[in-house]
Amino acid sequence: MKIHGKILNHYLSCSSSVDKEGYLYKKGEVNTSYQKRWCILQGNLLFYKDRASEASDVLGVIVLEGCSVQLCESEEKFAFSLVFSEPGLRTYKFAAEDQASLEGWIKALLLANHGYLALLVKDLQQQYLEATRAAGEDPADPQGDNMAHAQSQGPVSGSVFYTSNPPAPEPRDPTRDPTRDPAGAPRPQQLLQVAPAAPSKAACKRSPKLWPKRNALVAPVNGPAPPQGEWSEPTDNFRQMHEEYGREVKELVADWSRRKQEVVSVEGDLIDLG
Amino acid sequence: MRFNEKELVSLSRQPSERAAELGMRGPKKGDVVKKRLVKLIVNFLFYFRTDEEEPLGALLLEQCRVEREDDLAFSIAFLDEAERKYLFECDTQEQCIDWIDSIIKASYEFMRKNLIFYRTEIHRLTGKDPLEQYGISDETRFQVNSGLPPLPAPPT
Repeated sequence: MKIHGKILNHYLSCSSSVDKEGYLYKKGEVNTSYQKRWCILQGNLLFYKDRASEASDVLGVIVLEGCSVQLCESEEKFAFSLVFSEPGLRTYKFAAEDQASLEGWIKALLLANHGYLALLVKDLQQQYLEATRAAGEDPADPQGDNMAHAQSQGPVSGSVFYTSNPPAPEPRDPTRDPTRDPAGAPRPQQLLQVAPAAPSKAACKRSPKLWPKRNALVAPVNGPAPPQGEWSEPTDNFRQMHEEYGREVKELVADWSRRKQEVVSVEGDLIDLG
Repeated sequence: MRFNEKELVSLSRQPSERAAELGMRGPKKGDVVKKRLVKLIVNFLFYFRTDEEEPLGALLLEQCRVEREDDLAFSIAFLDEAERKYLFECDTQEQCIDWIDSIIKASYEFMRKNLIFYRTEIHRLTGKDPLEQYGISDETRFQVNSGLPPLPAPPT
């Protein structure tokens, strides 16, 4: 399967700021030692390079969909892994440089998947509509300047944009007076639709550390995908999903602390005996 | 560039936002329109030869321009230095419009832009940052001024 690496590289180079970057030790697949890699998290993609320098080429990318983040049973300290849940899929093992880095990366990677952002946006959209209602304002379209007419000057902020032959909705600048209702503007509800989070259901066997309802995307590989209807999102509610994430992070961190303490107490005994 | 191919193939088998058989033409000179099963899943557009299990390829739908080409066709131009443009032919105008709409909204950066807008506006309207309750207000990926002009100070 072709991934069109140039498109991925371009996405990375276009970003004025990245979601997270830093050195991580990555366990190789063939050469199973841990190698130091400069890792860049952007959107739902984890890129890795030999070095931080711009001149250094991207060695590879991990698409962060369908995976969970787990602490590693490893001799390596500050280790975690990206576990892809389907049978036959890989587990990527990493180690951070210290506790703070470990926690920062775990949190960032947990939040990186598409479904999480989709639900978060949906949740905020609701809050926004309630807030505008309460304030007596007309809701505005966040992408007003994105759906611009063909005469627009070129790419606007936002990664995908649309130029059209048929007339587009009247552009709406969010900084303009939102109470102004341009003639012919479609109902705000339509414009404010965002892609619904893909239906999610954990149909696969789950380890206790995987969270139940994230990410879509666990249809049985060998069977037909169930009809959309079956897969209604049990966690429609971002708040609920977020609590689960929060709990997972706490558990991961607590687990790590516990293990650290066990190591310390063993060492303590040794010192006493000495 | 190495990538997690098996995992991406697995992703391509998941329920999609939109899937259909479309005519698809690649960006190179001499490429012709071929019938492909096209599936939109998260911010990837997978394309398959009809009845094949494994996709031929995956297009990341970021940093691209979607254009209506005519009544039944749209194109996706990837804005890298070569500006490669893919053409897609639909069966109906409605299908064409629906695909354009879905592709635009599938982009991670599109969603991020929405989020930043809502966050800013909710803060303006209520004085509260909606991300604080979720403990994610400091996450870089949700920052209001990532690449955008800074927020005006909230009204006192």
